[in-house]
Amino acid sequence: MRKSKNIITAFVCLLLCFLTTVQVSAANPDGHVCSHGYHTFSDHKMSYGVGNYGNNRRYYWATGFSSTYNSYISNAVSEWVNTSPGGPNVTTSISIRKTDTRSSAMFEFHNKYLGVNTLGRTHFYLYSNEIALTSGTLTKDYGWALMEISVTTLTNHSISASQCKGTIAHELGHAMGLSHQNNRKASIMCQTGYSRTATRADARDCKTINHIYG
Amino acid sequence: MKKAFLLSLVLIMTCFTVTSCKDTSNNTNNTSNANVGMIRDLSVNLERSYSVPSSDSKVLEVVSETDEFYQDDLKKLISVSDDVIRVTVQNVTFTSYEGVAWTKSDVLITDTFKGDLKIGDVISVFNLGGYIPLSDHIEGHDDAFRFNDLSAEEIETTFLKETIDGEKTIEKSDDLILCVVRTPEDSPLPNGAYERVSYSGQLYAEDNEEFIQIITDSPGVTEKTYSYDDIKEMTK
Repeated sequence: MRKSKNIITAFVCLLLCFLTTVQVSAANPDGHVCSHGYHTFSDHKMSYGVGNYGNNRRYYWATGFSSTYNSYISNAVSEWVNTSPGGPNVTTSISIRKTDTRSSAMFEFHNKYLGVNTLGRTHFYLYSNEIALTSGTLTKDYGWALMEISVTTLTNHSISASQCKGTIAHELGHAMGLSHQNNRKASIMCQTGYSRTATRADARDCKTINHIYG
Repeated sequence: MKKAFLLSLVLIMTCFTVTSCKDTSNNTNNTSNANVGMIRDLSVNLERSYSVPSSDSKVLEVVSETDEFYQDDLKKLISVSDDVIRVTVQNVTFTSYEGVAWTKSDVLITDTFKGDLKIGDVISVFNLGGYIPLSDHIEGHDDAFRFNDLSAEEIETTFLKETIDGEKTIEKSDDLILCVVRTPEDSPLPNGAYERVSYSGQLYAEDNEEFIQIITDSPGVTEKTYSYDDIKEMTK
């Protein structure tokens, strides 16, 4: 009896060892995390903010999209701006509107083919009299963001309307300084490939915005 | 109690020994032909191409964050691929479509796992990113006003290096396993071009028995190792 108890104890220890290993390797690759635990690019952000509660409204400009996709963009932006009703009810400083005056826009949406797998991407650019080199990952604050949405790829993968909007909202999240959060499917910053369920920002995403911009 | 402890220790040590053992058995099924020459040239031509900019050129590295449809599940990537091939990279060229930088790799197929391509075929595999003259970016995006701090001469000599955050770029002489698909008809890429299914559908050959998949969703880098037999099994 004592012998079998010892064997059982040994096997339990072994099993715990294995489970610990499996648990560690099962986590999805996650994005950058700042020292405060938020998924940002070391808190680098868009210079002059993302709207300052309407006191310094920002603008987006879009080109190359059908009316359907223009409405997806409009809805994605609106859901970042208006977090209630129907949203996470976390107030942020985001204030972004559409403009037809391109030079006023800090956010640009373009319809570009990005390949069979890339649904969207965001580039970060600097304004400067000297073009600053940003090597590797995002390491500085930036002046404007270029978001390219691959409508062809979204269509070819039969992505639903709500997730098309989700991809756009995901890219806008990047444009405002949020990194990937692939271990949380309810986050808009989880990639489609890691089974994102969110189609708009949730409370944590909004709190990350507040962490970056105050 | 002491016996139980010793037994646990032995079992744990055995466990580590077994999992860390490398399978060094010769794989007689490996038909990789490292010395194969080109038999069929299926590569595509480019309307515009660029090399790595000279040291005189200014390079602005622009990193991007993406939303990807497929991720690093290799079995899934293999299942959606038209072809899974082992290749040696012959040549790497940079190009652009609609102001977007692309890298074209002409690769010689040295082994096949899935699909209709054959050993000895040379195909062109495209992946997003690479070098693009700033002037091409401006032409494709019509955004000259964003760079009005630069003179016309500076614009002509400045290149953008578009990179996907953390992704490893393909280089000449790389020995790779690639999961590829034919580019869709509605893409701007040339007819006959292939595309990598995903950046993680690219495995680096360490030796004839092991292939490394590098998953680089920053900031961490994860490496997964597969044997030749693992790949064969997944393509059944």
